[in-house]
Amino acid sequence: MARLLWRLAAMLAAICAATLLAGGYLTESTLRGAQRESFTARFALVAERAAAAAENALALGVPLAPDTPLAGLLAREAALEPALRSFVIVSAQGEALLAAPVDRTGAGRDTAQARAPIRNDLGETVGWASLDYDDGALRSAQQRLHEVVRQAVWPALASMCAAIALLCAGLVARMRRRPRPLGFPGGERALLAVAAALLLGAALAWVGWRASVAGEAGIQPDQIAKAQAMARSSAALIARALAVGVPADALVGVEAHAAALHGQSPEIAGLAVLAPDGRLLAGSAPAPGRLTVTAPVSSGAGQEAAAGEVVLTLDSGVLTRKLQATLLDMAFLGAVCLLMAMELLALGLGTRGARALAVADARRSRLAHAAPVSWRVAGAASVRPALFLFMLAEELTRPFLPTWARTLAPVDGALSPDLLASLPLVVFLAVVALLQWPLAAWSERFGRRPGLMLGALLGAAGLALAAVMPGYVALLAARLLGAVGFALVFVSAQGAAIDGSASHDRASNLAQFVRAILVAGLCGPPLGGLAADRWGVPAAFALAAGVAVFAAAVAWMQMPTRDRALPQPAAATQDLSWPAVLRRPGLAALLLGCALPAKLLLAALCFYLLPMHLHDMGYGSAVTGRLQTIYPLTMVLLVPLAARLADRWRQRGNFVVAGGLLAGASAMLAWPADGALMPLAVVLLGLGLGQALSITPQSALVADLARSLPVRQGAGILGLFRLTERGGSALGPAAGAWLLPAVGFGPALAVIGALTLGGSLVYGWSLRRRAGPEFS
Amino acid sequence: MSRRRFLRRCLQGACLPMLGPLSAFAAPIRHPAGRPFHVLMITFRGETDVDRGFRAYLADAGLDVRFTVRDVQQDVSRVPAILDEAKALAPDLIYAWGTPVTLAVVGPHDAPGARHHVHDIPVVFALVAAPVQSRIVQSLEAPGRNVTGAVHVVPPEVQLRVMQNYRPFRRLGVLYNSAEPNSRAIVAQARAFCERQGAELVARTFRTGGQGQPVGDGVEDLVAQIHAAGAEWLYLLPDTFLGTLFGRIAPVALQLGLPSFGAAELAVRSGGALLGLVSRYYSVGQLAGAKAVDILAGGKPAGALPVETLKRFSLLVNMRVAHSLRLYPPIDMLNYAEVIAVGDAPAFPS
Repeated sequence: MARLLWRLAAMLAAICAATLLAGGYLTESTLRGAQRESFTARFALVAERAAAAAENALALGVPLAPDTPLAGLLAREAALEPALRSFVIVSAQGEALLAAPVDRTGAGRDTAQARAPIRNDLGETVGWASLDYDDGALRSAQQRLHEVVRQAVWPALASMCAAIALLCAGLVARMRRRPRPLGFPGGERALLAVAAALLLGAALAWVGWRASVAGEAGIQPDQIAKAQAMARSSAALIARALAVGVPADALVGVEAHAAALHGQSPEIAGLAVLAPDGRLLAGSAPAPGRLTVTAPVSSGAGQEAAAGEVVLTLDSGVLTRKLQATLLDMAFLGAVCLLMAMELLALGLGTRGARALAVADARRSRLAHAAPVSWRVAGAASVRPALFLFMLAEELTRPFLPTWARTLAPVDGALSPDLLASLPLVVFLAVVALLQWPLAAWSERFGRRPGLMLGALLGAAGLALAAVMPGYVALLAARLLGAVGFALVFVSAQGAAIDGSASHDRASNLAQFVRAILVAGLCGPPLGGLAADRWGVPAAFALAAGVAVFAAAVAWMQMPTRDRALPQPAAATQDLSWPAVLRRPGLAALLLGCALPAKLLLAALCFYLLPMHLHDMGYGSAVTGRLQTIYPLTMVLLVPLAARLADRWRQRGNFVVAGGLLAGASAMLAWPADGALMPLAVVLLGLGLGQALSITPQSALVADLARSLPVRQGAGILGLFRLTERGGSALGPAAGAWLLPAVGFGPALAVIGALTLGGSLVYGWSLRRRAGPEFS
Repeated sequence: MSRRRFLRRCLQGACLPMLGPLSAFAAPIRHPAGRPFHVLMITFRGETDVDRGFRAYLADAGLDVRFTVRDVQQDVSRVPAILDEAKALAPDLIYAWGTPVTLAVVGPHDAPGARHHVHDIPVVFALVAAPVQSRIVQSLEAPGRNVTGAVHVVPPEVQLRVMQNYRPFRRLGVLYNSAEPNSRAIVAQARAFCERQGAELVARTFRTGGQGQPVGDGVEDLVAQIHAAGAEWLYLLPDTFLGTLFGRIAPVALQLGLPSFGAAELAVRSGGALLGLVSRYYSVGQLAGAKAVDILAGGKPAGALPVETLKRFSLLVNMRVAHSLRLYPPIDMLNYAEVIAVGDAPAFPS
């Protein structure tokens, strides 16, 4: 037992360490990116200004001669920017036509180049504004940043691992002294996991804080230099306006100019044009105490006194917010990794190790409470890691699949881009729905292990195809292949969980099966979103393909080679009198009013509308992935509780109605909330709560009905229920794609919410009408 | 032009006279027979910037070209004689200036070909406003005959967007000649644009004389009606008849505080319009030159080269009018606008 606990602690420590290292890398790359952008932007801006001036000069027939305004511009910029090494206008063949007089002897050898094209009216590039600058300062600043992150990560990592080791040692010593179980809910395993989560959170916060302090100190000077270059550019524009005769108090378009600057560089919070006496001429006056940069507005050639000044207000919190988003990514990464650790317990410790740990826990619990405890280890344990990994691979694609499909969709097709965006989802879900019955019987004959391995490999092939062939038709083909694989994995894993269980522990085995899927739904989207944001969608597909291959390998290693012989399953729908079954009181209302709209709403919102809407709002896949975790998280936490309460209070029907009403009403809230981020999180929470209330009572009601019927009809009812649910899932993205362009995000969701609400009311009405016990 | 070819061209450089010495680095491109290419230029009213742009482009692209220039002196009846002469000259390409000359050279595509019309020599035209409506080509994308060229008219939608950028409008006024198909087509496009933008088009047509020809009677009243209907811009179409009335329209519009937008350069330079978006003649010539290079050096048939307009136009702002109306350009527009009539200097004529 002690050895197993040490192995668990080592696994947790390894995952925490990997998360912390990944977090350090992400933080550093965020800061490096911000630093590089701040440093290089000012040179790019200068090159673009010179190119624009050259284009105007050439268009007006002004030669590029040394005594022209363009030559003056080059000389002025070169004088203002000490890091500039050369500044030239070159022809398309590379011949220098104009050059700024730069004399920077003894300059460093680290030079970089910024170039902006000079185009003619035909759109052809006829020359370049090109400048070389010393980027040694950038390199040394990035080196300093690397040192700071390194010095923050390694001690934190060592402390975290040491703390986990100490805790584990303490737990082992306590177990040896006192065999009674720990008072902590979940025992030693849970305590270790919670401690690891807390330690990881603290370490991430420490690394984030140290990096943000160092990053802000290092980047702010570059941000100010960039803002000064932007201020000079704006001042030149104002000077031109004044020079052509626009009165200083009648400047037009200053707000739009400021908004464009803010769009280019979010740290520019405002712009003001001030008269020499400090009077505000245009723009918004800088708030007192805010960081500002200024640039004088030239009065014209030969005049010394400035005609005014441009003041740019800087928002120093932009970088902090960027780092906070990175830290949030890291926190999600940590939580997800720990959840994965618990999910992959069987993988990390070996199936036998996990069973031994569970048996030891059970034994100690029995000693403590003298209550009968099943010593039987669930058969689902062997299939769970592979199932989880495969589902994780599929869930990785969740945040970006519809938006990626829309990107690839042909623009001149007969179908709208929104409809084309939903098609891969619809195809996937429809194929999964249709194939489950035939594949279930096939998997029975073929074997669970080979079935799952084949399914995982098919899924991996589909994901790999999407990774290597970024085209719309290839994506459709990839999702079709993935759907066959998904259906095969699903039925094989379900079959394995049932085969490996007896009647008394079948429910708990199936619960493990469901939990693996839900936890994958929890872990996949944020990881997939992060991967897509960082490395691009094809790389995220490749990652998912790799995980699916891993799932096949795990299935090969861990699943039993021989399946237990089971009686042949009943042929589902033969001898079934559908009209008679559907006339069962309340069944049609339950299927069509509750099961179908619930899945339709879930698939429409989580799989289609949410990613599309957030993408259109300008959010990245990581944000989508984080929001997509709210639903499975609520489900993981609340489904068992809701199921227990519904059974205890004998209110299954009312739970179904309440859940549907809550989910539908939450979706309708999206309309007035106008699709903002926080209200969307509340909508998803409401959806999760509603589904958690209704999902198990729904299944239980149908299962009860199935038990009350002859065997074949019962199986048929269960099959019909699953088919209705999956049909709803397949319809969801299609409905979303149809409604989104027609009415917009909020109303589209409200319409589907109203459908769910209405369906639940109809079912509630049918319950009242019968006014008797539920059809159990 | 293929992207690869376009990029190669850019790398070869070549496009601007200010960068002229650059072409000296490349070996001149000659006819496969080893002689210079021969281009017959038929101009309408002497040499203009269009012709200069055309020649400069060919020179900068490194083509060794011998030009034979014939000017019709604003009389297209001289064209058949020039074409007869062309048989003996046997040029590799004919350059035609403007719609009348081009039509006289190639004839309408849907009319039985006159004997003297050119079929076997590629023709490149410049400064044709509406080659499809003029029946010079069947479509802009695929001319379908041995003709291609450069259009100088800025697409109406681009002009309307510039108006919106300068001063957003809910009502747009337009005064046009209903007998002119080109004007009717532009008004239809403007109406569609306004509908898409949720704006309204306030359209008035010139009164007509006994034979249906437009007359200028009451044009001041028409401008006042457009203003009274709430128009925030007056859109001056590229219409020859309208051009003759600038002197009567501009003072009324200015007095009423109604800014006008000119689709023709003359409207802004001396017609009292506040704003205009026009093609530079030199650049139009360059674009025609690009077509000629594709035919001569690239070996492409003229019928396979689309008729194109420029990628960038010249935005003209008349500051004297802006002062009068107290309607100044947004500062970002000054990044690319050509501001004329600055200070007290009079606007110079084109």
